[in-house]
Amino acid sequence: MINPEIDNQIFDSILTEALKNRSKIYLSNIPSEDELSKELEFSDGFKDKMNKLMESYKRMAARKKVFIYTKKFVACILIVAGLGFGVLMLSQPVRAAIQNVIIQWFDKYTQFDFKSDSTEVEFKEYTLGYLPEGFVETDYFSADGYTSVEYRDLKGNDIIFDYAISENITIALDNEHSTYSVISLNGSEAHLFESNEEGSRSHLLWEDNGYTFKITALLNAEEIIKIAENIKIK
Amino acid sequence: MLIYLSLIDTKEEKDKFVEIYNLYKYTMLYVAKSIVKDHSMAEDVVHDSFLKIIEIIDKINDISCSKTKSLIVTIVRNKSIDYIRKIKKESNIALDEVEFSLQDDEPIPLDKLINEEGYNKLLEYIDELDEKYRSVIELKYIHGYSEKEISKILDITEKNANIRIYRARKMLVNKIEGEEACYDKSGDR
Repeated sequence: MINPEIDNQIFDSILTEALKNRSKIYLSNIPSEDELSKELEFSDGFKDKMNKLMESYKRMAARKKVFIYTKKFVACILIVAGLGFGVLMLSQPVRAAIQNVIIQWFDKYTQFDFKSDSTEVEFKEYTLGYLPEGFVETDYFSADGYTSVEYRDLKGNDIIFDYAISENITIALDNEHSTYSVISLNGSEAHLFESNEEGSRSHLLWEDNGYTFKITALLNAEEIIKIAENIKIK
Repeated sequence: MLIYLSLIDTKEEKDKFVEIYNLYKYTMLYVAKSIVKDHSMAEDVVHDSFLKIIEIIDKINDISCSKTKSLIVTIVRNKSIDYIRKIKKESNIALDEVEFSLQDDEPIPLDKLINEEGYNKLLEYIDELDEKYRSVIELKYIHGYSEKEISKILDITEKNANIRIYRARKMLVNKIEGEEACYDKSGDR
């Protein structure tokens, strides 16, 4: 033994090499996809499930574009809007909420940066305890501490319930076609963007117990608040 | 900065997912079937594996490279074993609750590894490792993932990832020394 630390480094190098070689051998023993496609066949049930999964992701991505902007894009706007933002930081709603969320107003959207003090938030599943008549769950997606559930009625109207652990989440909501207000929701502060344009959805956003929640729907504010008040752990 | 409310963020990522599906679906089914021995169960494993792949899709860059194939196969093998465990309803002791010191470093018998025979023995010992131990060291040493990333890929805690890496390494060192690892019986999640 020369030096335990150096010995460890040498061992790790040999181990890495051995693992790479072993993996190469293992992978080379698996027949090619072409060969396997002649031997194996997926059931219709599996194909249906995978198609649904892919469709679900496409919808998720499309939905996301409505309210999520990348940090890079926002950073560019911040330079232009810096002064306006500085003034806004003095206003009451922003200062009151600053402990958990930083709110930034821009011309066409409002950005919320949610922060959690703790990174060890236990994963919980939530569900809606109240749903307006006629709505049923039509889509569910959950991964990586983020869940999105979609409900639809027969007319095709939807309610989207999103929640995620409040660890560095950025959400941007359209403020051009809505009226903003801060409301009290089960003792927490919630941000309501009530649509003032026909056919445009309203949003309710709030943070509670290390989670950020959002409800998006083409419903009046009272109904959205009622849904939010009745969210419960699954 | 991580933006949670975006999973498959861009068109490229959506395409990436479809590409992975098209390129590896039969390989995944083959690997799953070789472990769970049932076609229908193997399909469930492949589906679950895709859910996991979607979670970590940003870590996949070159879809057709052998490193990606190795990562995907590791995910499928682990999901297959999880599936078997679930079916057998094996009760495992949570390693989080097991007191375990990671400080008792012993000398590494490098002299036994530097010749061809020793190296080939090491390959054999890696083969003999339980899948749960082999996966963590593959993810760490081949792919260079951190313990946090490994914990996410394998659905285990960060502490368990740390312990498994330590144990896998220790078992290999012990085998090279000619000793049998004596703590390999407890399960962990």
